[in-house]
Amino acid sequence: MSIEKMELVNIAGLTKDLDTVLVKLSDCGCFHIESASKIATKKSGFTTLKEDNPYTPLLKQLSEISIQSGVKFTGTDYDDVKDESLVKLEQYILGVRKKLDGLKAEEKQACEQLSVHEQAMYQVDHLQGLTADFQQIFHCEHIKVRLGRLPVDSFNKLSYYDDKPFFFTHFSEEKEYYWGMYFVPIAYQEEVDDIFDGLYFERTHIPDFVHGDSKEASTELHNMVESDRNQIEECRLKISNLMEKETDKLCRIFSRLKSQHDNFDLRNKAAIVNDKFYIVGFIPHKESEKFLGMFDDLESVSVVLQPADANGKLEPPIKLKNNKFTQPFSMFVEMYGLPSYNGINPTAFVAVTYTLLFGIMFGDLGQGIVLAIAGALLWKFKKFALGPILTRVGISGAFFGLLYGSVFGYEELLDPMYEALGITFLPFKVMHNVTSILVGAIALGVLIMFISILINIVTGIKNKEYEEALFGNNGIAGLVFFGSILVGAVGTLMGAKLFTPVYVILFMILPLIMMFLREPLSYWVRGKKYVMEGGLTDFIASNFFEVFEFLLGYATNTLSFVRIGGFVLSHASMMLVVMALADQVSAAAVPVVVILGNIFVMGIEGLLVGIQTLRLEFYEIFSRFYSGDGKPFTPVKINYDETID
Amino acid sequence: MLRNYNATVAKIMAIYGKRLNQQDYTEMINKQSVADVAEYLKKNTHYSQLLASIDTNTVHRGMLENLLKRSIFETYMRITGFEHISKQEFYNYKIIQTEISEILRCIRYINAKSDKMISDVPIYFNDLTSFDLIGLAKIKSFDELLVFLKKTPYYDVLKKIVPNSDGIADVTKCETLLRTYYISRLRSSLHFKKNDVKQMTALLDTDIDLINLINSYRLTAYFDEPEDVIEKDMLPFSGRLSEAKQKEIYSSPDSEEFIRRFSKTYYGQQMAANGYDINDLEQSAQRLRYKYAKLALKRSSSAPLSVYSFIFLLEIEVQNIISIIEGIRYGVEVNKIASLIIM
Repeated sequence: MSIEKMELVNIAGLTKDLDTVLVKLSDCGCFHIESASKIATKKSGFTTLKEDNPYTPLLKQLSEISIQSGVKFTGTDYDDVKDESLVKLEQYILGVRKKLDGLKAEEKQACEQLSVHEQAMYQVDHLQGLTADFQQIFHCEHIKVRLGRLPVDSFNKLSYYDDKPFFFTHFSEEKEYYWGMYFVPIAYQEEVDDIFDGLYFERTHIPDFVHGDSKEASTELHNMVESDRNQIEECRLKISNLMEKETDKLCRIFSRLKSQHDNFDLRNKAAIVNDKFYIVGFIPHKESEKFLGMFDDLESVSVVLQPADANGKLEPPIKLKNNKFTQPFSMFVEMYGLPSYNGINPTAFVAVTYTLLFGIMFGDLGQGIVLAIAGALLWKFKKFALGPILTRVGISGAFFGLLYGSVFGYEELLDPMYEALGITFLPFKVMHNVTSILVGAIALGVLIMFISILINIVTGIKNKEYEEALFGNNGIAGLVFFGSILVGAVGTLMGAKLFTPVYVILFMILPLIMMFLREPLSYWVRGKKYVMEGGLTDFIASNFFEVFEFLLGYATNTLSFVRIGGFVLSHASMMLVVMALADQVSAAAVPVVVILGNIFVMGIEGLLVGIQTLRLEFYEIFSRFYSGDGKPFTPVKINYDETID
Repeated sequence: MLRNYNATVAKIMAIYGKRLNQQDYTEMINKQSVADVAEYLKKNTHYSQLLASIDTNTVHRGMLENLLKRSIFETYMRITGFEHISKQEFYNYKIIQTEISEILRCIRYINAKSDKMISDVPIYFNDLTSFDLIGLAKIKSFDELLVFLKKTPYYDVLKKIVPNSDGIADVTKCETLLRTYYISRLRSSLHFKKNDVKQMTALLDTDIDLINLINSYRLTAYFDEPEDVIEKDMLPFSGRLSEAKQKEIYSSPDSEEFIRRFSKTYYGQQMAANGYDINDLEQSAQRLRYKYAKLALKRSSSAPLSVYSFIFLLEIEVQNIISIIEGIRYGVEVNKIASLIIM
């Protein structure tokens, strides 16, 4: 699997045709545009267009309509408004806006009125013990009455003012307040008002529209609130009816304006000289023939295709080429970063290793099948991107479950089948082969690391990056060093004495020296002179620690793969616990325990194994050969989003 | 048998975990109005329950401050009621503190011939104090006060004070006497395990030292009082500072020399080590007390130490909020308000 081959496209023509060309480019769906000013500089007489987008104000109006009404505009066919003049469209949009604004103002007014009435209702409801008419209370000749609420702490301080000519009576109480009123002779009004101010009394100003006693006033206010709510509902209904009537047309206008707006924005990417324009970008090689044909009807326009890397100033974008099996795993690769144009597409390698490692760790025939089905359903109904990956790894888990003889935690269920088939080496009982599992995990890890190093060597040589490919820790020197240690260790365990002086010097010390001197050696291979920056001491110190880090890396990365074995065992152990729990309950409860246990283990183990495998991919595998610094291929297209800059 | 009150300590730590942090203070300092600060406290902090029934748009600043102060009382009651430790004499220290501060406030209002004391009286303490707080707020003269306090221990403490011909009593003298009484009573109520007593005494000693240093600084810097007057107005205890050292500081001819001599003491060095501005002695002393209380709460599992430290930290938190509220109310610059926050 590889990276899509690209072509560098140069388009030149008369500026009168610029808009037509841009429409064709966004319609074709395969053109990745670059800013032409990167290569057509001011020095060579080119300029770029800096114009205000004429479609922005109208789109902003539409955006306002959308916000106010809550209706979302989407891209749609706009043939019937294609030829309408902008003035006519503006008149129509402003007409709708005016109607909407009117209704919104009506709604706002009703909401404000509701707020006033609710506030008065809240206050009057707290004065329910008051039976006198509000109007009468406020129009006493010799007495002033203040309604409101007094903090509880202040209420407890009222006895301090026993000698003052007022009294406070309350009708209801809350946690922090007493609701009530105080009476004071007009002659003492100022003094007593000051006292109550000091006690943090909050006055309630009963609006003039409230009549009768508290009960009557409350009923009246409840009716007013109800009426306000009805009025608000009515306004909202009118808005809804208006939008129902206009949304289709507004959507079509929006689509047309957005399309013109986005295409107009692309004009900034073109370089202009006199009355000519110049556009540059990339297309996939397989689209080149169709692409060239698009401009046959434009006489002034010429299109020239070049190899993707023809211009050093423009880095080709990356489009991964994957097959049906590997396609879902491209998500992981994109998450890490895309490869460079001359690099390799690691999706296939990820797909194989991820599926294999997940399957080994999650080995259970029943659970694997359930996971695969769940993945398929998630993709079919929810378009959940992880769905297809779950299907693949589920099948892998089921396969390894078949080898382990494990079905929903029942470890003996498949034994009769293997006996009947006469297969004696299967099933491979996980809990009886702990050492083999752990050693096997390391062996698999070493194999994956070797393959990763080999990939790095091949791509390094291809891209003439000799330092990494020949003398780096992930190059030939590293491979020889790491390989010789492993071969020597395995040989020693098997009785062969491989660590002879010649073996050690040739395969271990020499590669280490090469890694230490990798920078000067790579210069030497390229025939260039190496200049030591920072002096000899600095060179020795930094390279010593780097080589030391390489050595540590080999050890830790190898041991990191032990987790594969660890999770094989943990999966089996967790199911063992579930089965032990099932043994403790009555026969009727066994299915419940087994089902819940399986769901729990599948959830927890599935998540852990998924994350750990991804960790192995990113840290132990990708770090050896992959940098992920490519830029994605993003063909120009109209974005029917309402957000306008 | 002396027992541990680990559940109380655990409860304190749980409440302490909800304290305001730097981000809360920053958010509040940048608010435009007192209502915004109240709204922030109501929506985002452990004060939400306290402010639940408050309309933040209309609440009076004074009431908000009183509510915050009351929250300290409520927390104090919650903690001391949790394992009924309030039955032990020591844990009544907050009530004695309140009684003393209200008596001092009363004397100040008498001296100022003002009758506005009532609005800030912490009425929620009224069921716990040894005298009626409303009755106290009604008192108009020092003699009346003595009669009012006749049946309380404060009578013996204050009876030697003689007001001048205008009826004005020496507040500093009253404060020294009442604080001396408070510390003596607190020290005599430390019936705890040996280690708890040791830690609590150390914390009290620090408080004594810092209170004496602040008071002596005020007397030197603002009143230019001689050494013998200063000495008389100091709490008659010594903590970490020896008597000789205290004398040396009190004899400073001016505030600059005072700061220079103070900077050589243990506390001066601690302030310097923590980067506090030694010239702003009062603020730095408060920061140091805050730091010690925080450390005591963090490192000790002693109930008396935890209660004492935690309530102090809570008081500082409320003081911080009040500084912010008043800063915003009076249009103080954001940086200035921020510099008042003790953390």
